[in-house]
Amino acid sequence: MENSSRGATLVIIGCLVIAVFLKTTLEQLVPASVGMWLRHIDWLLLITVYVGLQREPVRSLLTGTAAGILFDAFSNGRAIGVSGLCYVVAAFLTHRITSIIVVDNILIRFLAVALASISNSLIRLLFYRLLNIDLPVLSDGGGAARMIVFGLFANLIVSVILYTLLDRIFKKDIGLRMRRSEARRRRL
Amino acid sequence: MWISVKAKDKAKKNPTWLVGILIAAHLIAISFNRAPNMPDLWAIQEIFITITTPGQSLFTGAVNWVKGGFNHYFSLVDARVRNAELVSQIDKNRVEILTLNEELKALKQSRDLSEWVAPYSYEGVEARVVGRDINELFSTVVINKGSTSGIERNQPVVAAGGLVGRVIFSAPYASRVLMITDERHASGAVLVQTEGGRLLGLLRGKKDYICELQFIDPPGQVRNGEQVITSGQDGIYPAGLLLGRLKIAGNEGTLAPQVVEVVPAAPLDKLEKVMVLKVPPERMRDYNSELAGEERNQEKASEESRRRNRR
Repeated sequence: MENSSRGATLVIIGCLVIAVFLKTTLEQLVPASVGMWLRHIDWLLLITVYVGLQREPVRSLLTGTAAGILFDAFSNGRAIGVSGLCYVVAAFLTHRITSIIVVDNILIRFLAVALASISNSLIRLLFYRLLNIDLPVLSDGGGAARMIVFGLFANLIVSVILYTLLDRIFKKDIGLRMRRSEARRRRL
Repeated sequence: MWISVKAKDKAKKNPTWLVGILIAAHLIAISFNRAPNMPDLWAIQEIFITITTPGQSLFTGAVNWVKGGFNHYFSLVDARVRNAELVSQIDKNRVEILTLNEELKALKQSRDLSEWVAPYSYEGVEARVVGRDINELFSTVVINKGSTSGIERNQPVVAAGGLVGRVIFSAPYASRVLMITDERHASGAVLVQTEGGRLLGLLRGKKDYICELQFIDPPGQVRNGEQVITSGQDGIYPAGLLLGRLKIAGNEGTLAPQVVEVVPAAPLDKLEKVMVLKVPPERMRDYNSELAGEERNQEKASEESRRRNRR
């Protein structure tokens, strides 16, 4: 059991590292027209939500924190901690959804990704404004709305493909977590 | 793992307290961003950038190689159909061609860069772009050369065609460059008009690889495609580096608004190789003191002429 947990943790760390690589290097390797769309995909958020969907709250919250640390390390924004907060809230929201709805299907996943994506953008924009980070997108309501909508659609579309791939990687874990979650519910 | 088994079980049953702790920790971290005398460089960024740059460099190189391979593969399909006997020979040659093409491309890029930089006669360090900013709101890139190659903060970075930006962070083997299209970037600029006039302004990053030029005085008539160069008055960039070209709706002598869009001259959307210019700080200081001296002289002259007029 402990080995399986360690294995899953290692896989999550691997996924986070790959997510960072995708976000930082993919855009410059594809044509600019494609790159402009790829920029809106938040790979780290998608991984955090996926871990949250596995019904393991501690792991998903810690994954969110780790994703935030990685984001801050690879960004030059003077907003240390904002990304971590966004991902922790996303992980918590996903946990709330999975604790209310036991079924795991594409609609639940869409709902979790949509909520996480919107909360992520809103919290980020709010804190950038509070920290007085001078970005024209913050002074322009249309720009902020575009950012939220583009981010939402990009994340939803990519989540379909990415989660199918991750399902194959985490196959063993998912069944186990579903059973554990159900047992915990009955105990309570 | 990171927390004890008992705490973990408690958190599994009710993770709200863990969420509370994590949110509080993050809010404390966020509050440091507003702290006075916050250090510019974070040790964690330096460590991460140093660890990941070789991997990113390798990944970028590999993807470029595969991309090149695909292009050549498709161009050779016809030849293979026509002469099946030569397939094995072509395969052998293809690998060789790929290698040679990569070398040729690298040489061409180096030549373009050195030809472009030569008139400015600054010593430069060639570097490869290995990564971009993870945050889509910021336009920075990571290059694979750092302080061990003599790269320092605020050194200008150019690519074949024009100015890319300036170094804002330098780790031993990698550096981060703030591009001119970043919304936090601003530099002194001069619009070189076709009629020979020069208009002073401030170039700011906008988004999606576009900048905007804010004129200091009302601009009058401007033309599409007119060049914008650095003024040298910001104390960072030497004067005369090409920033971009004006992009306005009308073609012929349009009355321009106070703010106009500028398309960067450097190919910022597909940067591969750049050159960091080692502009000696004393040279910028001399230039700035010259400018200040000139301004003082002009002020004196105008004051004297005013006095004479009064008399």
